[in-house]
Amino acid sequence: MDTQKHISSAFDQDLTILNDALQKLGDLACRQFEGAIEGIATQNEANLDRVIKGDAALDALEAEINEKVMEVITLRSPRAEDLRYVLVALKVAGILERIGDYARNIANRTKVIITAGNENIPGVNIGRMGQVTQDMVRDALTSYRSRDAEMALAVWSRDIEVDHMHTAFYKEVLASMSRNPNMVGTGAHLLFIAKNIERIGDYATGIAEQVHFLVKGVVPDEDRPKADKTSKVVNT
Amino acid sequence: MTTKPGIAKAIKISAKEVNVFYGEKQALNEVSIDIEDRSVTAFIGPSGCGKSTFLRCFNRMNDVIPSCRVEGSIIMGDVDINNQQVDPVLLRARIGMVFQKPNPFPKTIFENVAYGPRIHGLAQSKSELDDMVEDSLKKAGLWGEVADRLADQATGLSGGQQQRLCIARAIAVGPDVLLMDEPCSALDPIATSVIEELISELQQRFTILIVTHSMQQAARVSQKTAYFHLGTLVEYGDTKEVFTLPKNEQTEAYISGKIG
Repeated sequence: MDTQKHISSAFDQDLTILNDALQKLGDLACRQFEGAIEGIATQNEANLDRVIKGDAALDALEAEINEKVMEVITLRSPRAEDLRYVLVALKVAGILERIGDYARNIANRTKVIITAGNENIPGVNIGRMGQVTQDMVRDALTSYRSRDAEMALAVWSRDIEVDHMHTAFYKEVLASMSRNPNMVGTGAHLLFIAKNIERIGDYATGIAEQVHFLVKGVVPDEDRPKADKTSKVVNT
Repeated sequence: MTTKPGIAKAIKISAKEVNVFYGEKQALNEVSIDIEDRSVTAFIGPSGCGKSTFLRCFNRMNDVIPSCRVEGSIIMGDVDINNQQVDPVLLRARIGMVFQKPNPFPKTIFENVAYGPRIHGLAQSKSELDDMVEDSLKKAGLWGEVADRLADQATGLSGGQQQRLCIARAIAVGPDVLLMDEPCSALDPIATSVIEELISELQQRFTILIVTHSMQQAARVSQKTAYFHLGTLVEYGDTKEVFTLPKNEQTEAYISGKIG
């Protein structure tokens, strides 16, 4: 937030409430995603259940932010940076809520994989992919907190790393499925989990774009580097 | 935000290095601006910033203030309107003005509109004058409400109707430019919306300069916005840009209602 205050202190209070709610939603989304990724590695069902149940809090917080944004637009007629701020809050809240949905979906699928009880599940790359994506989400939120357009751009460019890992993991799982027909069910869930993580990476870049827009007034103008080739893979 | 390239509008009026003094006090400082033809340009800024003073330069209304001195040039066509050979009465027919409070003459609705064409000798016959009155009232969006009571006193109209009558009166003498000095500040929100809609229609025929304290109004009705502060033109640009991504910090603070 800039150092200038509004003549209307109620306007400042509204923006503070909005800011606090968004920070809270960001923290929750990160925690949910981290819980889901950790759940894949540890296969701890209690932790996965916590992620599944925890999603409702994100939905409620997003609804709260939407309501506050409507209130600020209606009552305060925000302009210039204030307008960008409330629009970005609305969009980022939507993105964080979706990250929460994907985290819950990862937790649900991981529980199914645990129940199936397959051995030799290809899981190393998914852990790394999850780690990089978590860092991207966290850095995107840090760039939002510090209004750092350069940091946001760095997050934005890093998505290609996740795309590469996603493509590699996709091939790895397909190979495993073709070798072992008992792996097909588990493999399908793994592919969806990997896709969810890849989408969360895209969402992190979405937050970064919004931070750039908030600070500079424009979204990054060059094409974002992409390398997800999974839609072109037929077999391994 | 990106702006799509468009066809630049012709310049209707060009003000160059305009300074205005009230006695020793300088109210406007080296203001230069190009006003686009058939567009609405809003002047905004805090009280005392010089926006109304500047608006009054365009039809030499400052001439009637004895202590006021205007320097610089305001070119319309190939004429500097500050040239003392320019007749301010004829100038004010070409550059009409609508004020903050509706100020109809204490005459009938018809006479209010007919007054200008009559003193300028614009109508050759009664029927031509009738047509001019009807046409002006139609352009001002008032005809439908007063067609059957043109002989009624104008002072019996509502505030919003009176303001549209004043617009009709200004239009009746065939101006190119309309100056509006906070034309809605004495009107309720409905009457304000009607005037704003009218401004958008009038823009097809006239170049409009409007001073307003309502930033929402400036954003709604204008294509260009000029922000003034302490007698200086701080920023001038497309309204969309000025209200979403102003270039100047002072403009940003003013339009966002910030201090400190």
